[in-house]
Amino acid sequence: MDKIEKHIEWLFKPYKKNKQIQELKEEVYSNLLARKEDLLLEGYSEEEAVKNTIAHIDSVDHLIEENKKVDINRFLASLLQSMTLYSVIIWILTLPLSLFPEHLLLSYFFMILSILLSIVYIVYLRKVNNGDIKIKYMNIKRTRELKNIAWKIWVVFIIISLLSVTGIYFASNLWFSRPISISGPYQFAEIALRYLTPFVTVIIPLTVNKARNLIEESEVEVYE
Amino acid sequence: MSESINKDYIRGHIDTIILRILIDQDNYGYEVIKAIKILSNGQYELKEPSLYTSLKRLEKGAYIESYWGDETQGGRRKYYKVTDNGKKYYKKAIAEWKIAREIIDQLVEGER
Repeated sequence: MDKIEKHIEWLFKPYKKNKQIQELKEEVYSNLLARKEDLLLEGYSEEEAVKNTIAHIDSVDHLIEENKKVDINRFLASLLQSMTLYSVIIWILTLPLSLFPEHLLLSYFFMILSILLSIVYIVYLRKVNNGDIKIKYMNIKRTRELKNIAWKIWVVFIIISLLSVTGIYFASNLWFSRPISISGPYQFAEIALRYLTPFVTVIIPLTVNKARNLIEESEVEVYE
Repeated sequence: MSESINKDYIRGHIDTIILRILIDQDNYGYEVIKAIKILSNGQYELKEPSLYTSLKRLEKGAYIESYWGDETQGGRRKYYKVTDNGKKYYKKAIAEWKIAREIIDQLVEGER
Protein backbone atom coordinates (compact mmCIF):
# COMPACT_ATOMS: atom_id res chain seq x y z
CA MET A 1 0.00 0.00 0.00
CA ASP A 2 1.44 3.38 -0.95
CA LYS A 3 1.35 6.48 1.21
CA ILE A 4 -1.69 7.97 -0.48
CA GLU A 5 -3.66 4.76 -0.03
CA LYS A 6 -2.66 4.69 3.62
CA HIS A 7 -3.86 8.25 4.03
CA ILE A 8 -7.20 7.34 2.45
CA GLU A 9 -7.56 4.33 4.74
CA TRP A 10 -6.90 6.58 7.71
CA LEU A 11 -9.48 9.14 6.57
CA PHE A 12 -12.19 6.51 6.20
CA LYS A 13 -11.25 4.42 9.20
CA PRO A 14 -14.23 5.36 11.41
CA TYR A 15 -16.80 4.51 8.75
CA LYS A 16 -18.50 1.29 7.84
CA LYS A 17 -17.73 -0.19 4.49
CA ASN A 18 -20.94 0.29 2.56
CA LYS A 19 -21.33 1.07 -1.13
CA GLN A 20 -21.61 4.82 -0.69
CA ILE A 21 -18.44 5.00 1.41
CA GLN A 22 -16.56 2.67 -0.93
CA GLU A 23 -17.40 4.86 -3.93
CA LEU A 24 -16.45 8.03 -2.14
CA LYS A 25 -13.17 6.41 -1.19
CA GLU A 26 -12.44 5.49 -4.79
CA GLU A 27 -13.33 8.96 -5.99
CA VAL A 28 -11.11 10.70 -3.45
CA TYR A 29 -8.29 8.29 -4.18
CA SER A 30 -8.36 8.71 -7.95
CA ASN A 31 -8.46 12.50 -7.58
CA LEU A 32 -5.48 12.51 -5.24
CA LEU A 33 -3.61 10.26 -7.61
CA ALA A 34 -4.35 12.60 -10.52
CA ARG A 35 -3.02 15.50 -8.48
CA LYS A 36 0.14 13.60 -7.66
CA GLU A 37 0.74 12.75 -11.33
CA ASP A 38 0.26 16.41 -12.16
CA LEU A 39 2.78 17.49 -9.54
CA LEU A 40 5.29 14.96 -10.87
CA LEU A 41 4.92 16.52 -14.32
CA GLU A 42 5.55 19.92 -12.77
CA GLY A 43 8.91 18.61 -11.60
CA TYR A 44 8.19 17.66 -8.00
CA SER A 45 10.05 14.68 -6.59
CA GLU A 46 7.92 11.63 -5.82
CA GLU A 47 8.18 12.27 -2.09
CA GLU A 48 7.34 15.97 -2.35
CA ALA A 49 4.41 15.25 -4.64
CA VAL A 50 2.91 12.69 -2.26
CA LYS A 51 3.35 15.01 0.72
CA ASN A 52 1.74 17.91 -1.09
CA THR A 53 -1.12 15.73 -2.33
CA ILE A 54 -1.97 14.31 1.06
CA ALA A 55 -2.04 17.80 2.55
CA HIS A 56 -5.03 18.64 0.35
CA ILE A 57 -7.54 16.59 2.25
CA ASP A 58 -7.37 16.01 5.97
CA SER A 59 -10.91 14.91 6.72
CA VAL A 60 -13.93 13.38 5.02
CA ASP A 61 -16.26 13.79 7.99
CA HIS A 62 -18.36 16.42 6.24
CA LEU A 63 -18.95 14.12 3.25
CA ILE A 64 -20.51 11.28 5.17
CA GLU A 65 -24.28 11.35 4.82
CA GLU A 66 -24.99 10.09 8.34
CA ASN A 67 -22.82 12.69 10.00
CA LYS A 68 -24.46 15.66 11.60
CA LYS A 69 -22.48 18.76 12.33
CA VAL A 70 -23.21 19.66 15.92
CA ASP A 71 -22.14 22.51 18.15
CA ILE A 72 -20.91 20.42 21.05
CA ASN A 73 -21.26 23.13 23.70
CA ARG A 74 -24.85 23.90 22.79
CA PHE A 75 -25.59 20.18 22.57
CA LEU A 76 -24.15 19.47 26.03
CA ALA A 77 -25.93 22.47 27.56
CA SER A 78 -29.31 21.23 26.29
CA LEU A 79 -28.54 17.67 27.33
CA LEU A 80 -27.48 18.75 30.83
CA GLN A 81 -30.61 20.83 31.15
CA SER A 82 -32.76 17.77 30.46
CA MET A 83 -30.64 15.56 32.71
CA THR A 84 -31.05 18.04 35.56
CA LEU A 85 -34.79 18.04 35.01
CA TYR A 86 -34.97 14.22 35.03
CA SER A 87 -32.84 14.06 38.14
CA VAL A 88 -34.94 16.64 40.00
CA ILE A 89 -38.16 14.83 39.09
CA ILE A 90 -36.76 11.52 40.33
CA TRP A 91 -35.50 13.22 43.47
CA ILE A 92 -38.98 14.64 44.19
CA LEU A 93 -40.51 11.22 43.61
CA THR A 94 -38.05 9.70 46.08
CA LEU A 95 -38.83 12.29 48.81
CA PRO A 96 -41.36 10.06 50.61
CA LEU A 97 -38.46 7.69 51.14
CA SER A 98 -37.40 9.77 54.14
CA LEU A 99 -39.81 7.50 56.04
CA PHE A 100 -37.64 4.53 55.19
CA PRO A 101 -34.08 4.95 56.48
CA GLU A 102 -32.94 2.07 54.31
CA HIS A 103 -33.81 3.95 51.13
CA LEU A 104 -32.83 7.41 52.26
CA LEU A 105 -29.49 7.15 50.47
CA LEU A 106 -31.24 6.96 47.12
CA SER A 107 -33.05 10.22 47.77
CA TYR A 108 -29.80 11.91 48.81
CA PHE A 109 -28.09 10.53 45.74
CA PHE A 110 -30.56 12.19 43.40
CA MET A 111 -30.45 15.42 45.35
CA ILE A 112 -26.67 15.60 44.98
CA LEU A 113 -26.86 14.49 41.36
CA SER A 114 -29.36 17.27 40.63
CA ILE A 115 -27.10 19.87 42.20
CA LEU A 116 -24.01 18.65 40.33
CA LEU A 117 -25.84 18.48 37.01
CA SER A 118 -27.21 21.97 37.40
CA ILE A 119 -23.72 23.32 38.15
CA VAL A 120 -22.25 21.70 35.04
CA TYR A 121 -25.28 22.89 33.09
CA ILE A 122 -24.60 26.48 34.12
CA VAL A 123 -20.95 26.13 33.07
CA TYR A 124 -21.99 25.04 29.57
CA LEU A 125 -24.78 27.59 29.36
CA ARG A 126 -22.20 30.32 29.98
CA LYS A 127 -19.98 28.89 27.27
CA VAL A 128 -22.89 29.02 24.83
CA ASN A 129 -23.79 32.56 25.84
CA ASN A 130 -20.18 33.63 25.37
CA GLY A 131 -20.42 32.41 21.79
CA ASP A 132 -17.93 29.61 22.40
CA ILE A 133 -18.68 27.28 19.46
CA LYS A 134 -17.08 23.88 19.16
CA ILE A 135 -18.12 21.89 16.10
CA LYS A 136 -18.03 18.13 16.06
CA TYR A 137 -19.42 15.50 13.73
CA MET A 138 -21.79 12.95 15.19
CA ASN A 139 -22.94 9.87 13.43
CA ILE A 140 -26.75 9.64 13.73
CA LYS A 141 -26.90 6.04 12.65
CA ARG A 142 -24.61 5.05 15.49
CA THR A 143 -26.48 7.11 18.09
CA ARG A 144 -29.73 5.49 16.97
CA GLU A 145 -28.21 2.08 17.62
CA LEU A 146 -26.93 3.28 20.98
CA LYS A 147 -30.42 4.47 21.91
CA ASN A 148 -31.97 1.10 21.07
CA ILE A 149 -29.31 -0.76 23.01
CA ALA A 150 -29.75 1.50 26.05
CA TRP A 151 -33.49 0.85 26.18
CA LYS A 152 -33.06 -2.88 25.70
CA ILE A 153 -30.49 -3.17 28.47
CA TRP A 154 -32.70 -1.14 30.75
CA VAL A 155 -35.74 -3.35 30.13
CA VAL A 156 -33.67 -6.47 30.83
CA PHE A 157 -32.32 -4.86 34.02
CA ILE A 158 -35.87 -4.02 35.19
CA ILE A 159 -37.13 -7.53 34.51
CA ILE A 160 -34.23 -9.07 36.41
CA SER A 161 -34.64 -6.69 39.36
CA LEU A 162 -38.37 -7.34 39.59
CA LEU A 163 -37.84 -11.08 39.42
CA SER A 164 -35.15 -11.03 42.07
CA VAL A 165 -37.25 -8.89 44.42
CA THR A 166 -40.10 -11.35 43.94
CA GLY A 167 -37.63 -14.13 44.63
CA ILE A 168 -36.40 -12.58 47.86
CA TYR A 169 -39.86 -11.91 49.26
CA PHE A 170 -42.10 -14.59 47.92
CA ALA A 171 -40.11 -17.51 46.55
CA SER A 172 -40.30 -19.56 49.70
CA ASN A 173 -44.02 -18.87 49.98
CA LEU A 174 -44.52 -20.13 46.45
CA TRP A 175 -42.19 -23.07 46.92
CA PHE A 176 -43.86 -24.29 50.08
CA SER A 177 -47.24 -22.95 48.94
CA ARG A 178 -47.61 -20.97 52.11
CA PRO A 179 -49.93 -17.97 52.08
CA ILE A 180 -48.19 -14.64 51.57
CA SER A 181 -48.30 -12.65 54.77
CA ILE A 182 -47.78 -8.93 54.92
CA SER A 183 -47.92 -7.73 58.48
CA GLY A 184 -49.05 -4.15 57.91
CA PRO A 185 -49.08 -1.07 55.72
CA TYR A 186 -45.45 -0.21 56.54
CA GLN A 187 -44.19 -3.58 55.46
CA PHE A 188 -46.40 -3.43 52.39
CA ALA A 189 -44.91 -0.08 51.49
CA GLU A 190 -41.42 -1.44 51.96
CA ILE A 191 -42.07 -4.28 49.56
CA ALA A 192 -43.66 -1.89 47.08
CA LEU A 193 -40.57 0.31 47.29
CA ARG A 194 -38.32 -2.63 46.53
CA TYR A 195 -40.28 -3.03 43.35
CA LEU A 196 -40.24 0.66 42.48
CA THR A 197 -36.67 1.72 43.24
CA PRO A 198 -35.06 -0.04 40.23
CA PHE A 199 -37.09 2.29 38.01
CA VAL A 200 -34.99 5.32 38.99
CA THR A 201 -32.35 4.01 36.59
CA VAL A 202 -34.65 5.13 33.79
CA ILE A 203 -32.56 8.31 33.83
CA ILE A 204 -29.88 6.49 31.81
CA PRO A 205 -31.94 5.47 28.75
CA LEU A 206 -33.81 8.77 28.96
CA THR A 207 -30.53 10.65 28.71
CA VAL A 208 -29.37 8.62 25.72
CA ASN A 209 -32.76 9.13 24.10
CA LYS A 210 -32.59 12.87 24.62
CA ALA A 211 -29.02 13.00 23.29
CA ARG A 212 -30.11 11.40 20.08
CA ASN A 213 -33.00 13.77 19.54
CA LEU A 214 -30.78 16.74 20.30
CA ILE A 215 -28.28 15.74 17.63
CA GLU A 216 -31.02 16.01 15.03
CA GLU A 217 -32.16 19.36 16.41
CA SER A 218 -28.83 21.07 16.95
CA GLU A 219 -27.34 20.45 13.55
CA VAL A 220 -25.43 23.44 12.27
CA GLU A 221 -25.93 24.52 8.68
CA VAL A 222 -22.72 25.02 6.78
CA TYR A 223 -21.81 26.27 3.37
CA GLU A 224 -18.33 25.26 2.33
CA MET B 1 0.31 39.26 -5.40
CA SER B 2 -0.86 42.00 -3.06
CA GLU B 3 -4.49 42.07 -4.17
CA SER B 4 -5.66 38.50 -4.33
CA ILE B 5 -9.28 37.45 -4.47
CA ASN B 6 -11.24 37.41 -1.23
CA LYS B 7 -12.50 33.83 -1.00
CA ASP B 8 -15.72 34.90 0.66
CA TYR B 9 -16.83 36.49 -2.60
CA ILE B 10 -16.39 33.24 -4.45
CA ARG B 11 -17.86 30.91 -1.88
CA GLY B 12 -21.49 31.48 -2.79
CA HIS B 13 -20.77 30.87 -6.48
CA ILE B 14 -18.84 27.63 -6.38
CA ASP B 15 -21.84 25.62 -7.58
CA THR B 16 -22.26 27.94 -10.57
CA ILE B 17 -18.55 27.80 -11.38
CA ILE B 18 -18.53 24.01 -11.28
CA LEU B 19 -21.63 23.88 -13.50
CA ARG B 20 -19.94 26.16 -16.00
CA ILE B 21 -16.94 23.86 -16.19
CA LEU B 22 -19.08 20.76 -16.53
CA ILE B 23 -21.18 22.40 -19.26
CA ASP B 24 -17.97 22.72 -21.32
CA GLN B 25 -17.36 19.01 -20.90
CA ASP B 26 -17.89 16.10 -18.51
CA ASN B 27 -15.12 15.95 -15.97
CA TYR B 28 -13.81 14.37 -12.79
CA GLY B 29 -12.96 16.06 -9.52
CA TYR B 30 -9.31 16.93 -9.89
CA GLU B 31 -9.77 18.21 -13.45
CA VAL B 32 -12.52 20.53 -12.18
CA ILE B 33 -10.11 21.98 -9.61
CA LYS B 34 -7.49 22.38 -12.29
CA ALA B 35 -9.91 24.00 -14.74
CA ILE B 36 -10.90 26.53 -12.07
CA LYS B 37 -7.27 27.31 -11.38
CA ILE B 38 -6.57 27.87 -15.07
CA LEU B 39 -9.76 29.93 -15.62
CA SER B 40 -8.77 32.22 -12.78
CA ASN B 41 -5.19 32.53 -14.04
CA GLY B 42 -3.96 30.76 -10.96
CA GLN B 43 -5.60 33.26 -8.61
CA TYR B 44 -8.13 30.91 -7.14
CA GLU B 45 -7.73 27.30 -6.15
CA LEU B 46 -10.77 25.38 -5.03
CA LYS B 47 -10.03 23.25 -2.00
CA GLU B 48 -10.76 19.56 -2.24
CA PRO B 49 -13.21 19.40 0.68
CA SER B 50 -15.23 22.26 -0.83
CA LEU B 51 -15.22 20.50 -4.20
CA TYR B 52 -16.78 17.35 -2.78
CA THR B 53 -19.33 19.28 -0.74
CA SER B 54 -20.39 21.21 -3.81
CA LEU B 55 -20.52 18.15 -6.09
CA LYS B 56 -22.59 16.31 -3.54
CA ARG B 57 -25.02 19.18 -3.22
CA LEU B 58 -25.35 19.52 -7.00
CA GLU B 59 -25.91 15.80 -7.42
CA LYS B 60 -28.54 15.79 -4.70
CA GLY B 61 -30.36 18.60 -6.48
CA ALA B 62 -30.20 16.57 -9.74
CA TYR B 63 -28.23 19.35 -11.43
CA ILE B 64 -25.44 16.91 -12.26
CA GLU B 65 -25.11 13.16 -12.69
CA SER B 66 -22.10 10.96 -12.19
CA TYR B 67 -20.70 7.93 -13.92
CA TRP B 68 -17.53 5.92 -13.53
CA GLY B 69 -14.70 6.13 -16.01
CA ASP B 70 -13.09 2.99 -17.35
CA GLU B 71 -9.55 3.59 -16.09
CA THR B 72 -7.83 0.36 -15.33
CA GLN B 73 -4.85 1.86 -13.59
CA GLY B 74 -4.73 4.14 -10.56
CA GLY B 75 -8.32 3.92 -9.43
CA ARG B 76 -11.55 4.57 -11.27
CA ARG B 77 -12.46 8.20 -11.83
CA LYS B 78 -15.91 9.49 -11.13
CA TYR B 79 -17.06 11.78 -13.92
CA TYR B 80 -19.79 14.36 -13.63
CA LYS B 81 -22.20 15.47 -16.31
CA VAL B 82 -24.64 18.38 -16.28
CA THR B 83 -28.35 17.58 -16.54
CA ASP B 84 -30.96 19.77 -18.27
CA ASN B 85 -31.98 20.83 -14.82
CA GLY B 86 -28.41 21.88 -14.16
CA LYS B 87 -28.28 23.98 -17.32
CA LYS B 88 -31.46 25.80 -16.29
CA TYR B 89 -30.05 26.34 -12.83
CA TYR B 90 -26.87 27.72 -14.33
CA LYS B 91 -28.73 30.24 -16.53
CA LYS B 92 -30.79 31.36 -13.57
CA ALA B 93 -27.71 31.75 -11.39
CA ILE B 94 -25.99 33.86 -14.05
CA ALA B 95 -29.04 36.13 -14.43
CA GLU B 96 -29.21 36.54 -10.66
CA TRP B 97 -25.52 37.27 -10.43
CA LYS B 98 -25.73 40.00 -13.08
CA ILE B 99 -28.52 41.73 -11.22
CA ALA B 100 -26.68 41.43 -7.93
CA ARG B 101 -23.44 42.73 -9.44
CA GLU B 102 -25.18 45.79 -10.86
CA ILE B 103 -26.94 46.62 -7.63
CA ILE B 104 -23.82 46.10 -5.53
CA ASP B 105 -21.74 48.27 -7.88
CA GLN B 106 -24.40 50.96 -7.60
CA LEU B 107 -24.48 50.60 -3.82
CA VAL B 108 -20.76 50.69 -3.15
CA GLU B 109 -19.60 53.29 -5.63
CA GLY B 110 -22.55 54.50 -7.76
CA GLU B 111 -23.64 58.07 -8.30
CA ARG B 112 -25.66 59.49 -5.46
